[in-house]
Amino acid sequence: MKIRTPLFLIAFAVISAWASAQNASGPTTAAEHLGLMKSNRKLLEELIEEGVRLGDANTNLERAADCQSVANRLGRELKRAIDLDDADRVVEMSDHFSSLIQSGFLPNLETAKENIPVGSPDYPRLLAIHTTAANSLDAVKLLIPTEGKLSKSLRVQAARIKLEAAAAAVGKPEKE
Amino acid sequence: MLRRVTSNHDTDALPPDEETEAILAAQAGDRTAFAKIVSAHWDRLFRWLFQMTRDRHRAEDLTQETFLKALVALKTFRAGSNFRAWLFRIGHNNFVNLKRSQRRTTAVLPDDAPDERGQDDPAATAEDRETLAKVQAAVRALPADFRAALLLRAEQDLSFKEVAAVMGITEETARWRVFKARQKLVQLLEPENEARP
Amino acid sequence: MKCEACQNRILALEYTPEPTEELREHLASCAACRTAQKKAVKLDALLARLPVPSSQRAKAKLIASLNDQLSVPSSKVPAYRQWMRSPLPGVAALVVLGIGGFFYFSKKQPQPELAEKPRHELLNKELGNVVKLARADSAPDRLRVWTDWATDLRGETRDLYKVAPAEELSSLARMYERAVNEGIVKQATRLPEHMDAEEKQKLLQAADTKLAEGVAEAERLHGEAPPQAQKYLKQMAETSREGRRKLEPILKGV
Repeated sequence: MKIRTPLFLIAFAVISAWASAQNASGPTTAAEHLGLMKSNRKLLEELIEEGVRLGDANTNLERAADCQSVANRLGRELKRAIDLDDADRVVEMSDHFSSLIQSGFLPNLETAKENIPVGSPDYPRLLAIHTTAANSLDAVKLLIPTEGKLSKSLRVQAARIKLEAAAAAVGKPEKE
Repeated sequence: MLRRVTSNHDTDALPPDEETEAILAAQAGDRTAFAKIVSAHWDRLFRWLFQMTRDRHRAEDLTQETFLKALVALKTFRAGSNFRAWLFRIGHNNFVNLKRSQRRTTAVLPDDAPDERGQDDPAATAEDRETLAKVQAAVRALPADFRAALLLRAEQDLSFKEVAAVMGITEETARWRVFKARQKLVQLLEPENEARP
Repeated sequence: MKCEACQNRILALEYTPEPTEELREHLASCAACRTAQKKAVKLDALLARLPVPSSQRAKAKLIASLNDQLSVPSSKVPAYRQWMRSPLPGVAALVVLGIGGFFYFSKKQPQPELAEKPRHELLNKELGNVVKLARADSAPDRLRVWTDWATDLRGETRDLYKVAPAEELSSLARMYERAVNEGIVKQATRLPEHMDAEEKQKLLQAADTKLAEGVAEAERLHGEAPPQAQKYLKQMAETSREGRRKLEPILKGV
């Protein structure tokens, strides 16, 4: 019976998070805002550079690879949050990771798959990018602990479900 | 006439146009639209997951988790394409993950579903009930992959292509699994007297 | 058609509601295969009748949470559902779940959670821009994203210039410079020649307007900024000016 109640509570967390996804509140004080800027500064700088790379990418495959690179960066941030037992940051990074994969990486991967047939010169790279993404998602999913303080947070568990959904959406490359 | 009996578990099924409309609304953030989708698909999904897990509580958990994941991933679904197959694919992945985690903890999936013979059609004969029980036991004894394919095709009425997509296998493998599963099960049935034409 | 082939087709569920002529002819003349067909149909009927316990309660719970029954009159709502009427965000509402005893709490029951900390708006926007760039496959689309991105950075500077130390302001000024030069200007130079002239004009004008606003705003803020901020506001004003200078020939060439 233990497994059932938490899952239903997670349902509320997922549904609430989904419903209020557009309404995340901004910082309430200048000090809080500054604190956020300080802790995110490095990440923001790296995102601009990733953005420049994305702006230079000419193909879906290149854009998929660049998205994967951003996702890896977010994955490292997620790991840091887990190490610090920071549930809010874990949820935040998981949300961003899942959105990036679902809305950025996946559409590019799917278009690349349509345009790059098996046997074509780009196919090995497509396969490599897909495989790396799938493995990376598997690794990120496993980062979220199932024991300890963080595992007791419903929002963290809801975030895990989002990551699993992203992993399911990416899937594994088809065997030739 | 060679007509296959399909199950009738669509208690709240939506007509295709209405379903597409509900999906589009849900993709735009309408929770009540997604509630309609849950209502339309829960029974079938639960039925299949119950036959796969043979455990009511686990099947309920998996069904709920499947809908949650579908909710989260809904924007990636192309409204107008086969939602049920997409949903069942998520459900199948959840089931596979459950099996893997069960193997890791060396636990086995329980086979302790209560005897539900009381839910049978009261008009069914004793012979029918006995045959039903035999088929139920035989379905449960099938390897999970064969059971999954059989029920997706025979009970859920998905095409072989859709079965393959749900299970992540080729269409040929889907056909083979359904064929072998039915071949095994049909042996349990007594030959009927041929009806007069 | 041979019996084995016919029966295999039946078992493989390859028939359609309208069987092929070949299959129909064989069935008409073969009692054994008709028997096999009846058994297959009976099997399907039995599969459809396999007993399954009810899951209506679990189904109703999930549907209720989606429908969020806030409009149900309180007198008709069982005590355990009172919490759902809270205007609090769903997550914060979980804090009061223990009341009512609707759920069976085990030892491993999650603890009530505090409200979520606010998120960084600029980070949300930057990640949103990354996704937009991932979806953009043309210079016009990218130019729009970069124009927005530069504006977002200006907004952050405006919010923080009075309180932020040099390190943060320097970072914002650097990022703004990248967004303008490697973003706006670069994509402006890549606008296709065959692009509709009016649309091109509109797009470039919009970018230029934003840069002009950047100049004006940075100069205004410079006048009221603390000393550590003035240098970086000046830099941002110069970046915007330089950006406009680089866009000018492109605008003229339209």
